[in-house]
Amino acid sequence: MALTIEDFTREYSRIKTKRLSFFLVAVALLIVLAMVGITLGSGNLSIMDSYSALWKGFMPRLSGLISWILTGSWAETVSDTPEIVIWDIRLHRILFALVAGFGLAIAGTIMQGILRNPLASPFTLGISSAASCGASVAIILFAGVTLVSGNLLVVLMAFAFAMMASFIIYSMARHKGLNSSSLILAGIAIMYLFSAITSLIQYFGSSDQAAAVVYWMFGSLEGTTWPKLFIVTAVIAILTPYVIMRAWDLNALAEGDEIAKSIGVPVERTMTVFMMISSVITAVIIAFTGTIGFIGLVAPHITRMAIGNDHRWLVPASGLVGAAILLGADNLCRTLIYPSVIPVGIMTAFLGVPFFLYLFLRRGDTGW
Amino acid sequence: MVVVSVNDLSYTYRKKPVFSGISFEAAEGEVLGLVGPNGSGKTTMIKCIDGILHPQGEVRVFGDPISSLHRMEIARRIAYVPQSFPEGLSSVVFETIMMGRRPYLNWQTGPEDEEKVYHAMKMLGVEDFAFRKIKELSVGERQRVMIARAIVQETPIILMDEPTSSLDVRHQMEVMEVARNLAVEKNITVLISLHDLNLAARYCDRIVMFKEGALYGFGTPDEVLREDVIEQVYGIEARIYRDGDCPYIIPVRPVSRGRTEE
Repeated sequence: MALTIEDFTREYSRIKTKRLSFFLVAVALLIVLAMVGITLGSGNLSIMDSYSALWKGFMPRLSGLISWILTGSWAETVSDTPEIVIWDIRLHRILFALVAGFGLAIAGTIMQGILRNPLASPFTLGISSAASCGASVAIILFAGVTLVSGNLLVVLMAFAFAMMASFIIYSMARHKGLNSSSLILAGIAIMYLFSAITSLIQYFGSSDQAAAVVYWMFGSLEGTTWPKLFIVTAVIAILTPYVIMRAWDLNALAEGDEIAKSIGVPVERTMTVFMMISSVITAVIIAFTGTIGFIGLVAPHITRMAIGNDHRWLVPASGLVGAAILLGADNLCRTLIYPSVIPVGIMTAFLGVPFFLYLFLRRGDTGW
Repeated sequence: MVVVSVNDLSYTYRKKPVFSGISFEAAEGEVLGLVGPNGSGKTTMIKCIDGILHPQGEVRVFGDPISSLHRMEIARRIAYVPQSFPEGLSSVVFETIMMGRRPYLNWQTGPEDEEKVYHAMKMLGVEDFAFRKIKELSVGERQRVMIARAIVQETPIILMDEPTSSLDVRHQMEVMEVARNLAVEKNITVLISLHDLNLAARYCDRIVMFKEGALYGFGTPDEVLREDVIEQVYGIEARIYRDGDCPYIIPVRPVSRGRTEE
């Protein structure tokens, strides 16, 4: 039976509807996870206490923000304890998990797309091990163990090393002609190099310092603050629309360099831009959180399986999935062995690895 | 009217010349066959014409040097059907074909894009696979999907790199018919590299014959496909019969190497 044009357009709009529904379900899931997350944690707040404190604190802070924008001075708000717990401890952490998960997933999607490799992610390319190396240099050689999470130097060094790694990978690959397999190989080389440097530095550090480095490498949302959230959100909010706008270029690059060129993509320049964008997004997140793995790998895969490979939808949707995974994992971290909190990087690995294997073993088909 | 002109083109890969000093041209609405043994530079030539590789010498498209054109402008003039499909590709058939609309799309696809994709699928007989994944298709089906994509790109020039090499006889002829029809009905210039000399003889207006990176012959099938030329280029003894208007080549046996190398 031959497919008529009516069948074709009908089926095509069914696919579009499916993508939209996936989108809406992901957004709904995020809202639920955030609403659950706000009620979790220390402070002995009931669910109702949490929500009323969230509501009560909203207007004063909004007017405070407006007056800060207008006059430059922050009007002090008087808060009771539940309000402080919600607004100064829980909320920015939840939002940070959302934004960081979103960003890591998008960075992974971009890298997998331009490198045409389902295993490409900021982590397999060595960017995160470079960030760890930068952090350990700061912790051991310069800073000492105190104030690790709040230490500006650690953040800056982690960011700088992450960017340096992607620059090195990029120039090496560029020198060799910049095809996707040479980029991956360069990434693996970089990963081992920075891991070795990190180990060496740890070896010369004190045991406290080594412990601080290890803790940093777990990846954690413990140290989030409103200003950190603001920085990460600003970077992602600026770069994401550009990526979505250029989604056709990602679609084309996923077909191979030559085909991408033949349908009008200036391949080298476009790859450079996308490499830069995904590196900056990754670096700015993990500089604050430490190594949070598997989001950038798993989220794009789940999304590909659900809605296919059109990056116009894949990029934002996998961002939402990544946000849901990181927030869900962090919610678990804060409840599993309450009152202790497990670093979220450990949890994402525990959730991610079996899930990843399951995807491969069950289907042998992960959308690639 | 000359649409593609190749002037004194040379390409060197890792210090080894792939071809050198090649000149020929293709006219509007012409099917031009590129033939020659394996490794004689056909694929490289096609990539140079599309500006994917950067040779010495000059390729002009509608009078403009290809090196002076922006990629998007090239994509509006030339569509390219590669010989093989890259690994790791998993898109759905209609999305792969829709990619050919990219030079005209901003972000959203419209009903007319969908219509064009459908008609191209229909033309190549792949409409029933529209929602299947590329990697579920046979090699021949993929080949036809790639040609459909070139068609929706709506360019005045289409380059096809051995589009028939993995197809059965019927599909080979169908692809050549499509190429012929594009040339005759839409005045598209089709440059097509082929291994099958009889397909070249039957469907091409003119033929460029390569031998070891040099141009060995350029002209109509009758001018180029002669027994002596085939023996020199391919090292085989062949007999030429006539079938209607075109020569028909029957390979007989390989000749000993000594005779081909003078």
